[in-house]
Amino acid sequence: MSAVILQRHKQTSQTMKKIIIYILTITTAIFGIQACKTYYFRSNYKDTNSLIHATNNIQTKPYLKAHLKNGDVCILRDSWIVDTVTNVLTGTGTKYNFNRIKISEGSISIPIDSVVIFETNKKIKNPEAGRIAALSILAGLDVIAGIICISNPKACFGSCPTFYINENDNFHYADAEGFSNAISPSLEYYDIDALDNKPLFQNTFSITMKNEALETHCVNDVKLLAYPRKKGERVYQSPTNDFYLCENNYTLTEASANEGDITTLLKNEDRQERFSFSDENNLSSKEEVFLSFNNVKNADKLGLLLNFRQTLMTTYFIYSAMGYMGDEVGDIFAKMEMNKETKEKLKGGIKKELGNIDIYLWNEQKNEWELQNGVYETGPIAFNRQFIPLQHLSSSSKIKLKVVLNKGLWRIDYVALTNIKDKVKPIEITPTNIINKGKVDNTALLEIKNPEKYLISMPGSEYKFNFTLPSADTDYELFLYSKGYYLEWMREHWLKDKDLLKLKQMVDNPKKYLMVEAKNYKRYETTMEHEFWNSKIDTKTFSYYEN
Amino acid sequence: MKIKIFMIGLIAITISSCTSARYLPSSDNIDVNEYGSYIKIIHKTSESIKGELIAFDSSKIVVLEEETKKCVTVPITDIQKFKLRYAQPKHYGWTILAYTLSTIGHGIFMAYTAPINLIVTISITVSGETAFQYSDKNITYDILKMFARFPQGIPPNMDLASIK
Repeated sequence: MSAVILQRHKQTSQTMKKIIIYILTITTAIFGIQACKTYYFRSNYKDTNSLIHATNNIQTKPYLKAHLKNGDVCILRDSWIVDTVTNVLTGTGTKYNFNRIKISEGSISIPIDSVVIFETNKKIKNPEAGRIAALSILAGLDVIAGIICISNPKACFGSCPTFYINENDNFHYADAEGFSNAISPSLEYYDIDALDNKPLFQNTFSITMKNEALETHCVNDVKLLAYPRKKGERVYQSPTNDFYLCENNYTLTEASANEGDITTLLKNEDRQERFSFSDENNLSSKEEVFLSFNNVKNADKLGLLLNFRQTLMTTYFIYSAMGYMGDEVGDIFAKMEMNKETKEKLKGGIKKELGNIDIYLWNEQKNEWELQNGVYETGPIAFNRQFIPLQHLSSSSKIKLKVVLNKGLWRIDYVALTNIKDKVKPIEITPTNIINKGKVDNTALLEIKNPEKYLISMPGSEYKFNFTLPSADTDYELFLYSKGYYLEWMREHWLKDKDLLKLKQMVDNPKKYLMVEAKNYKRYETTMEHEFWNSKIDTKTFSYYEN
Repeated sequence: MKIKIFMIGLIAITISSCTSARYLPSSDNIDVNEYGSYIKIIHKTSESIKGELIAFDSSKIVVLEEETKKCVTVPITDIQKFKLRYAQPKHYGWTILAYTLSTIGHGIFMAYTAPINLIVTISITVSGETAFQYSDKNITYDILKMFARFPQGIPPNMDLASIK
């Protein structure tokens, strides 16, 4: 199934490329041909015989210009007649003198002898038709693209810095998303993402940071955290940023949720995700997922692996908040920077209401669910791979877990159990150099290495960070550390959504806001989620993910 | 980025500002225009001459210069090249900015759509500006004279100074 979807994405990408090439080729050809074409429309006749001969078989006579010997000109409409007996040209039109001042208008009779040249012109039919058609087609395509982006902003505008091991990947295959919650300077924080890297056979490693959004990214630091691993070993990161060297994976036996059996969705790392839609009455409604592992050979020191990312719900809240601020967005962000209380409210607001993905372990002896820990990571793009060490395990080979999560907020790809070998501390590796537009960017490197400075990344920017690992003979588990903040650009179409009362409700009373806003979000969710996950322009060579 | 936007604006304004003579007809009315076409002559040795093509004979071209409003005579041996416009062009320069800026709404796809919009609108603008034109490359002097106010040549006994 995964292969089929990836194949479809590849085909979509190829189709897009073909369409672009066709548009460019056709446009170039049309205008190339037009530029080369010479259109002759004017004819001159020195005598009436050749004029009559040339115009006799034409259904609608052309207008006739009779240039007179004295420099005057008569322009006759299509009813002119040449009388070869009397040698007179008659018709209706206008006569101008040699300075082209109108002398007379109406019925005109001109002796043929006074005419030195007759002139006729073919009408140019729809000379602008080609250009107008091209502009109309282009406008149509632009409008379609615009509608898709308005109805589905995330698909077009991405989010926060995205990191790619394969620089040609698109954002659906981002390997990490940096500091998604840091939407202003005071909310700056660091983020650690597992890169889930393939085995390494050399001591160099590169990762490309892209700004694919209408945002200004202020990046304070980017570095690798690395820990050596042997065959069969992996290193996982917990929500508290502790690192565990692990071995043995126990696959899921059974999983169920409100909709029924979801085992196949969660059993493998295949991007087949389990997600639910939000509650139409309350966006903070919770749901439960039950997991069973029946073949755990070593129940000592177990931990739960969880691959997940968010739906577009938090993106909706960020964009909505910006919309509610309207034209006061700058003032409000400035106040937020100056006022600690507002910042605290934001931290404890909607995020707290939505809650973590909480993991509970079934205690057979006590006959109750025991909370183990919770995970939370903002961002709908890159998968987060986190690990929760389990406490108070029995020696049974059957482990039952319960996951409590907000409805419509999370997409879970994979769950598994693994044995903890040791708690470890990875080494930190700073970039050796940074490549910007194909050239070594020493300024960017200085900015990243100096804690007081920021690398400013604007929309469309790409920076390739090159790292040197301690040994070429050792395989490492890699994590990406990124620190900074970003400034979302205000969109013109958001200005009309200004609603400061709603913003106040969002910050002061998030519980109520999540209930009131549920119906609006529901309308957005059904179209947006569908379009987002189907509008994939795939540039990736997907063999890596198939392995 | 600012420089790029500025450059696009500059191109648009430059192209749009290629004004042509007011007496030229629209492309629908080329058959009822009483004046000669607009000609720009690049002189081999002196400055270029622009204005209404008044007449041509086998050895010289008479142009009513747009700046001085006086007729000048240019021997064809002194002409390096010429361009002749017989109808008012349609200006599409505005589309370069308008269409390209509209792609801001396309988010990350702007990387594809902006260059396409830029290429197509620049092509259309250039093609619009160069429509209804001939040059020494595609017409001979024999055809050129048909576009003069006096295709028959300067009428006998006419004083060039009296032509307005």
